[in-house]
Amino acid sequence: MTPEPHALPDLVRELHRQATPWLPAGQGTRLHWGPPVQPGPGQERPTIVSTARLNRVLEHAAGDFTVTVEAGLPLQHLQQALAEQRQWLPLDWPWGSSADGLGAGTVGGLVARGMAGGLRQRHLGVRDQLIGIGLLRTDGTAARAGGKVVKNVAGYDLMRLLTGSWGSLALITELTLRTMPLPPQRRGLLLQGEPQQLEPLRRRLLAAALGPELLDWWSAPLGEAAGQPPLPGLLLGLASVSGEAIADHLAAIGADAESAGLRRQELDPERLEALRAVALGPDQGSGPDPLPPAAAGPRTGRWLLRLGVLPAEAAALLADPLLAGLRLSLAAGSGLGLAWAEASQLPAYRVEALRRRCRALGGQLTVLEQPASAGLPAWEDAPSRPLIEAVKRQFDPLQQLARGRLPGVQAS
Amino acid sequence: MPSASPSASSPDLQAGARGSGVASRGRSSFDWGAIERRLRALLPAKAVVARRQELLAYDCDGLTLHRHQPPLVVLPETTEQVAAVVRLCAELGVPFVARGNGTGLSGGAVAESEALVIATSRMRRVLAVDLANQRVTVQPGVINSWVTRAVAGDGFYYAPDPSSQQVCSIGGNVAENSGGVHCLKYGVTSNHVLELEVVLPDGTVTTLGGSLPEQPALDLRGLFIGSEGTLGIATAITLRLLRAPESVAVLLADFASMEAAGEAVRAVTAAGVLPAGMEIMDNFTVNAVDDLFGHDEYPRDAAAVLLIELDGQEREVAAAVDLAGQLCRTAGARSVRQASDAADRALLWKGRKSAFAAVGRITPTYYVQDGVVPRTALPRVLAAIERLSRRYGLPVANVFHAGDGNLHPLILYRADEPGVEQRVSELGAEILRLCIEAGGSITGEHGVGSDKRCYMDWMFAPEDLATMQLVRRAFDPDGLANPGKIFPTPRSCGESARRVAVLREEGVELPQPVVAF
Ligand SMILES: Cc1cc2nc3c(=O)[nH]c(=O)nc-3n(C[C@H](O)[C@H](O)[C@H](O)COP(=O)(O)OP(=O)(O)OC[C@H]3O[C@@H](n4cnc5c(N)ncnc54)[C@H](O)[C@@H]3O)c2cc1C
Repeated sequence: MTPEPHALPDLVRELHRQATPWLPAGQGTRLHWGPPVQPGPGQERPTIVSTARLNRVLEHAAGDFTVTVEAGLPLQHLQQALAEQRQWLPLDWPWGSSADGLGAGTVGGLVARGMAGGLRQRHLGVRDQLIGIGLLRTDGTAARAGGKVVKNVAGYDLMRLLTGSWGSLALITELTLRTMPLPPQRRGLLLQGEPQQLEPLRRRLLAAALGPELLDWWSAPLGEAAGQPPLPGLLLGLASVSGEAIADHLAAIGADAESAGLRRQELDPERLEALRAVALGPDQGSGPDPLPPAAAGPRTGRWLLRLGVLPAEAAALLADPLLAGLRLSLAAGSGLGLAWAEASQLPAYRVEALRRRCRALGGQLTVLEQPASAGLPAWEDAPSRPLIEAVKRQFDPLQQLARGRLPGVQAS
Repeated sequence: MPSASPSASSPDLQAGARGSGVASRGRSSFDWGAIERRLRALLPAKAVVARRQELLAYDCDGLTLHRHQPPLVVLPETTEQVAAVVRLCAELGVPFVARGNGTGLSGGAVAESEALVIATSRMRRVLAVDLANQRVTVQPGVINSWVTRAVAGDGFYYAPDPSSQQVCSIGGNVAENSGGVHCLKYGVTSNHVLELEVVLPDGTVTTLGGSLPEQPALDLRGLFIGSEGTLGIATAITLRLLRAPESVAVLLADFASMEAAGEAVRAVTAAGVLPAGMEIMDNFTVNAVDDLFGHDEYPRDAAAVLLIELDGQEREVAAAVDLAGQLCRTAGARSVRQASDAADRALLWKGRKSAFAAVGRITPTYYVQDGVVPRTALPRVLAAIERLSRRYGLPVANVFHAGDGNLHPLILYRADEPGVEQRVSELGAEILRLCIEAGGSITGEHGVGSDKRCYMDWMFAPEDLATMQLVRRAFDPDGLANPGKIFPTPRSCGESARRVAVLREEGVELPQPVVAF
């Protein structure tokens, strides 16, 4: 269902009256990620309520560096609108987008998933950009939290609660986000070699006076997919008001890299963007992508894994044979990344072993996409599971929303 | 500030459990003597404070006019002890109030109704330092500046730096989501917390967040931060550390109008220079500082003095200083000074750092308001504050975080002037009203506590507050954790004098006497 904005509250109230299970959605580009959503009794598939018609920029306060949008606004449209004022939302396109953001889905979807890419290094995550939220509760009550100013501690931070809630608590209808001026100067560098050779460089780059805007580990297969030698690498992005500062830094790093025996390639802004686009995986954004029918389960014969390890352990992860064949891009500062592979390349037991390995390295692994037959839990129980369930009961007493998909609770 | 209502209390609380501390011991619904004995059995010697004389130290926070002496205070040292105390509270239905170092400015750490105060002042251990992963884990009573001190030798620091950082606790920072001068570039507490160990109001211990900034779980860590002690007690906190900047520069510009200063702030931000901080002092403050120093540190006719701090790589900072200086002049700065070495920087900062002291010489007392407006509304709102100040006959000094629109108007008054507190309250409320009308907030960093709960429904609709209460019910179904804070209740707000004054002013007809709504 893709209701007009004015019809939405009535629709939600009606679903509540009937106790119908439903799944909040944006454009539905990534509804199949994560645990399958259970349909209600007598339903073949869960009802999907899309915000696609809530797609306006409500207010871009350019001088205040904030923007308020309806949740169904495509992220690509938002970035285009901001770019006209030389501003942007400092966030990566989600995995599966094309280089120009086609297929990136909606802003509401981005928030509901709450996953940030390499730009987190400088700009932090989705949750850190969100300053206000409007939502529709399952009983049709409209509510807000936060506001339109960048600093505000009045009331509970429902922005963070809803970020990464995967549609399990409420339908997000409106968002206010902070924006940034587009960086005046940007350059990049790709370093390639063995993980143990790269590790000292990683430490140096993170500790450098000119901190990276992004610094991502790349696995050898990802390098290869980008037309580079099949070696692990570090992709560095720098942004500054000073072109000289960037040039100085690149020269110093280049010298270090050379003495460490690493391959290196300086990147102009276009080349840097092109490489980053390779790390978004196969482009899914080119064709028309109607709401996929398979919200109730994975639709691809592919693995897509969200994984994380303590930052100092990433080199060990990269060197691990368990990672063989996987394309992986992992933010060096935060330790969070994505890995993907065709179903045939990766048996399920290896993903389970990888999950254990990530845990041993201080992190975790979430299965976003998996072959239909694999049957792995998308995520495991969080230590605060009882509290998560208590919050869920308060927000969704009839258990209508995204049944079977509650972050922090392993689906049984 | 005078309290909204001296006997405010949560409706969740059992009947009879109201009243203000010791004063009401006579008709107390709890047997504090028995509770004290149970607590002594759970805790080490000297961890239970029950003597009147000693309890005095806990009767207020930084807002010294809200005073309520608690019946008992405990000083646990470990998570297990906190959990045991909270379990006992849950068993007996006794409310509790967490307390850090009591520097809060919204009355948050004060037990208004009969409640046990659980202070973290003996939980001051740094539990783990992990420099390879740029993080540190501390107990909640650790003082903010100690975190940086523990890691500065290795070139790291903890970014959120409230002005109270020498005395406020990390637990209090987490509860208030505290900011600081440098939060423009580096963010507030919430942007720097990875993991929290929390004792929930039923006494169970849980972990919110985790070792990585994103978890495949509802972000209850983010929800807990800023919850002002109403969702439980944080007993261990893992913080992100940042690398200390290589180079820092300070720029000081003065302007003939607040509009021009505001334009400079806008232009600098739009140019892609992200300063670590931007602070403005208004004409009143400038004169107070000049008086304090005994010479004209700043031109006395300056409508605004703007301080910009820039940090980062040396060449980058040099470029940013040039650019920012130029933009200030274009915006109309009459003079621009700059400094790079530490001594010169301190000189430029000196006036700003002395501002409160300077203002404090004019009258013995002042009230610090905390409100936020969109950056572009600053000149307009400041002009309106000046008009209000004249109307109320109370001087207001403005020193504020210009980069994020966070105002801290200081309302100056003499406490011995009859009826003055009422006027101060009303002026404070009207300033918040201006902030809301400009699209802002009633608090940017000091929290709602008891001081501002009666303004929450100026900013939020009943449905918004009801939705926030869902969270409260999930964490604390019995309403034992810091009852009565943040949310307006008929009892605490129905008769609030300042609220009535402002509503009347707006022409709202109020019944006489005002009844609860
Ligand atoms: C001179 C001065 C300057 C200040 N400058 C700033 C500033 O620049 N920026 C800013 O943001 N604030 C500022 N403040 C306000 C204050 O310092 C902060 O709010 C600080 O975080 C409070 O810490 P505290 O340890 O004193 O907490 P307290 O005042 O003891 O408690 C504050 C709140 O936190 C709760 N709490 C305390 N510990 C815990 C815990 N472990 N778990 C759960 N809840 C807990 C309490 O219940 C209470 O609601 C200033 C205050 C003063 C007096």
